[in-house]
Amino acid sequence: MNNEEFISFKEIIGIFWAKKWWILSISFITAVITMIVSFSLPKTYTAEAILLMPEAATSSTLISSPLGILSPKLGAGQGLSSQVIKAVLGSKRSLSNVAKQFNLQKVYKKEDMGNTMLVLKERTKIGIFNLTGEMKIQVLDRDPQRAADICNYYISMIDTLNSQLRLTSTKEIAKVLDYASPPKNKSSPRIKLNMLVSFLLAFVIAFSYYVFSSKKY
Amino acid sequence: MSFQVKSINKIVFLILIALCTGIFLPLLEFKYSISIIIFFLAIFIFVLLFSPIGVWKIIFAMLFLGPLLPYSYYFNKFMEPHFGGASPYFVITPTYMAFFLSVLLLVVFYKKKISVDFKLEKSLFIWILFIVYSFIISIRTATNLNATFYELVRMVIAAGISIIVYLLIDSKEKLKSALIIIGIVLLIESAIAFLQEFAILPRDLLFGETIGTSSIIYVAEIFRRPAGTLREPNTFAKLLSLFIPIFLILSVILKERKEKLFFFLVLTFSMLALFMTLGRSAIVGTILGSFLGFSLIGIFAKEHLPSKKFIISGVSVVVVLIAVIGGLLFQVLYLRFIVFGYLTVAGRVAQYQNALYTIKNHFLWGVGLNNYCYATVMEDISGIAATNPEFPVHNLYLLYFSETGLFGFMLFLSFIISVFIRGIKNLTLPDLDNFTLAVIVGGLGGFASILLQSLLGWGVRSITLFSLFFLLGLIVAGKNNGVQKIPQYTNNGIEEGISHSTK
Repeated sequence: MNNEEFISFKEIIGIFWAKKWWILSISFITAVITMIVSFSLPKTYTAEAILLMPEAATSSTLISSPLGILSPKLGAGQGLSSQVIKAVLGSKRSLSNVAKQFNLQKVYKKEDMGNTMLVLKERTKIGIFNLTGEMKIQVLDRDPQRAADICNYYISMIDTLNSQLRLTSTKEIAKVLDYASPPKNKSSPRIKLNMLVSFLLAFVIAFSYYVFSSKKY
Repeated sequence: MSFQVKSINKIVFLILIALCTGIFLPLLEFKYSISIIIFFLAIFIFVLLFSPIGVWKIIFAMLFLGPLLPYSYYFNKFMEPHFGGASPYFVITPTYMAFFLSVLLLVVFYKKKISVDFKLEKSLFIWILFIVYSFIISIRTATNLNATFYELVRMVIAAGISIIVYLLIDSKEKLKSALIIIGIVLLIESAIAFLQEFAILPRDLLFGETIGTSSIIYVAEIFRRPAGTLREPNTFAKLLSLFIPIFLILSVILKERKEKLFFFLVLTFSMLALFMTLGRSAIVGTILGSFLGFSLIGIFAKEHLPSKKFIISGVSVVVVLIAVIGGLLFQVLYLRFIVFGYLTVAGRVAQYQNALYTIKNHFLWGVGLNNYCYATVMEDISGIAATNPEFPVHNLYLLYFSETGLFGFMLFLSFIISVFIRGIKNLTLPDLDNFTLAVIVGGLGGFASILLQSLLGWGVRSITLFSLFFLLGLIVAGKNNGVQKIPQYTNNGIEEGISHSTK
């Protein structure tokens, strides 16, 4: 076999053994730097609320396929769809309501409402789990209590916006399985995990560098 | 130091097989799992006790057949055969079984060769780096680390298959036998596809003809698309597209009549089966991959080509063949390529939107290997994930970028580039015979074909991954044959011993 293209496991182990202190030192230093950086990062909390998808709640067909006219289920669904709820909650009207209610322009230290809404949009995630019939609303914030409050405020807005926009005659369309409660643990930074990952990454990078820089490879 | 199979090895091996099947049997999740086990066991007992053909051929055939054997896989409520056992549940597939048993056979019969010759090819080293990197990153980023682990197992096994293939095929004769084995299997697969096309055999060999009620299956049922033993026509088309360029180039440049006829037969059958699958990107990819193969020969190894007249006649036959098939299937192809092409564009564009949004939000580290489907449900900017949560983006590059981030994607690209650079470099080697040249060039053509298809699909993340790495093993094996052997490996009696035991 051509030696330039192949390397044996014995050679790989030999390279590691010869450079082990360098590799381990680099990995350790990287982990320490990660720890310092992680400690300096602000804490973020994620609050989550779970709703029943309206389609699931009314026992109608779940969202139809994007295949359009060929889908035999098109038009089978009744009432308001989860995607409409998602669109409504992600609208400027909704974001503006939340931003004003919690004075987020001041909290996020933004000059205008437009930028505030952009940040809020980035920190709000709404997922539709078609296969389980759930809708999840997640809000990220530096304050756990505020994260939960914003999350629950979104839920309260679903019915409000429904009557304002006259989307459906049903008064209560939000069937809540779990309201958001203030998260006890921060979602980021995860210091130990970050350290472990950075240690392993630095190890792999340093090790591969020595393997590739060896004459035989 | 000659190598002979000792009877104690046979007994130990048989006990191991019995134990392993005893453990794996309850884990296998398809209806006729017992028949697969019996099939494998029958092969092994035959090999160990009566085999006149050699252990390496059995290992080789088993590794090639493993990914082709049908099995079922359940993704939540949907049955999706082409998910390939990646998530969310761990499924011991026939491929895993084939790999595991191959390793056992290697340890029993090729222990000395492994200890001397077991070397890692550079592109595979990069692939393993990619696997390790993706896993480490996923510890931090993945929503579902189990899914990452399952994909990691698949990727490791794919690399293992590649290593075993190039370790086994260390001479031109073995390479030739290997291609004949692949040719026979493709002939059988194509024959099954014809029978399925004309409704003599069911399209699903495990569960028979089934027509689902879901909208996606409803659309797919408009066309009758044979899948061979693979149960999924696109996967079957991808398998064919991987190997067709090799057989095309072999049937053009070989001079020996019997071989030429056989490879031409395989090519014809495979091309017909490919057209019957109606796999759009596979058909286009195969044609482009074959052109790449011919271009590579034209640029790097003109001296290996037969006369211009011969090439023109050979290529003319293929063009006429494609034209006849195209003419016969014109209406179906038109419907499939044009009408349904437009129909599925919207869905794919929506998936690309989601992938680009995910990449924008997770540019450096990604969302975790094999976690795309989980992550996009919460970041579903286009709404497609709510309607088809089980389908990732139909672009392999966007998929890897969004899952492993910038650095992971760069590693993946490095892997691809390293395969091509090494392949092309080896085309300039002296002492390269026609057969080996055809395998390297055709292999690169097949590789390019699947990479082109990956622009519009994510097939490499299915069972095709194993076939792709099998092909990579063949390309590397081809390189071995073109390189001068190092005396210490050929003169220490090991080669002689192995050739004696596996003649």
